Amino acid sequence: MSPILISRDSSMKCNTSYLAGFLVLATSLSIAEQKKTRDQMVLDDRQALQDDESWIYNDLPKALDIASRTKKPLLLVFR
Amino acid sequence: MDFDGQVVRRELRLKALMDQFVCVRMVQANAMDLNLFQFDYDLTFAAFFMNADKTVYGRYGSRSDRSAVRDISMQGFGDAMEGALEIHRGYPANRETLAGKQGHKSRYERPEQYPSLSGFKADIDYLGQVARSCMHCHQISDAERMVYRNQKESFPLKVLFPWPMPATIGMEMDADKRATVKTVSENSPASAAGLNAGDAILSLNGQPILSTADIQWVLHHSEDIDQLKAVVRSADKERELTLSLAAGWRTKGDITWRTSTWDLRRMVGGVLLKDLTDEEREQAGIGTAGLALKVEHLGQHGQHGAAFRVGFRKNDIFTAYDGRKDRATETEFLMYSLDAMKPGMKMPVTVLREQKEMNLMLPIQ
Repeated sequence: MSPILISRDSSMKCNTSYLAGFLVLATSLSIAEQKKTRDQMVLDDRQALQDDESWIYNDLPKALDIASRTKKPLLLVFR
Repeated sequence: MDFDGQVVRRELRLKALMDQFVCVRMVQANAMDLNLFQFDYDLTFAAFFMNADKTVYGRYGSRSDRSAVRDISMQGFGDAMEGALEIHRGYPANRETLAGKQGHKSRYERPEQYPSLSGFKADIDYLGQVARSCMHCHQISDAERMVYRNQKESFPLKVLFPWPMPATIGMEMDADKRATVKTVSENSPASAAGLNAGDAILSLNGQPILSTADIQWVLHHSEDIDQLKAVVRSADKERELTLSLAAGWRTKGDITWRTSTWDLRRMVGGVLLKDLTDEEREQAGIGTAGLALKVEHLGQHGQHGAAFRVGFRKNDIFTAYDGRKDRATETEFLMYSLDAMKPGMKMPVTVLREQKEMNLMLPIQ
């Protein structure tokens, strides 16, 4: 986006520059929000499963040890 | 349907079954033991049934098209779990029957050892770049293909057509039942072997079968010409039959739904193609026998934008590539292009754009 190309008087140029600045900021925030969302999804999943005693979260050695002691088979879910 | 969510919450009949297992949630491919965990890396949901000594009892999770849940169901998953519990009760006396289900020697022990994945670390960066540091399973398939591509070698069919669905040999499976045939296609290896709708496949190549994924495991490791012994049950009667796999059987599969096919499209300039239907062909004035692959999507950036940069456009219709004019699917186009063309070559393509033919050169990468 180029504010110079679409404005000739200074006030318009100023307004357009603000607009361009706002769009850059908004785009940055949007990207940051998307990143936060993807990151947050992973963190939320970990939080939910770590608090759930019926699941072992991402720890194969621990799961093998428990399976060995309890004589139970393992169910591993890849997600 | 949120299949994964239902499993996590142990819905329906799953709770009583899952209580009999040690349940583990694996969320990353980083540092995964590739000699042990071999499954279709393009799935969004995959499960393993295993002994504490790492002996694999079976696998669950299948996919044949863009729908991630068409080939799986809670009922089928529960049935597979029951089967795994049966195997566990018979273990280790049944160990010999499980030998074929174990992972084969992998090229690398860990995904990060692939050159194209060397930027990943063994652990997710939970305090920083969480998602970016998390390797996706499909990236393992991408990395394996890159080994061949970087050496300018053709992909083995097993690499290009991984984890064939049973439909590839003519049997559509019932997602709601344990390894049970729903329909059999005429003139297929399945019909020639005498399989019928309703047959439950008990074993294949001597391996106990819990799921469609277990059938895929056997097919994945079958040769390009092979014979597979199957034991099936129908109306309480068991019978043995032989499935004969003829040359080219594997190439009847569709790879276009796979996430890892995105990287194959990059290798042909970044085009996503669709074979026009007979109706669309009639509207465009194209016959039904010839090639008519429409550019449904065209990358714009990096290597995915290579075709765009040399003049290809969305909605162009390929009517010839490298002199080939016969009707083809995108899978067939990819199979030919990735075999015949090596990185750095340019493939002549004729496209139809606004009723005019144009000759362009497709950059191969």
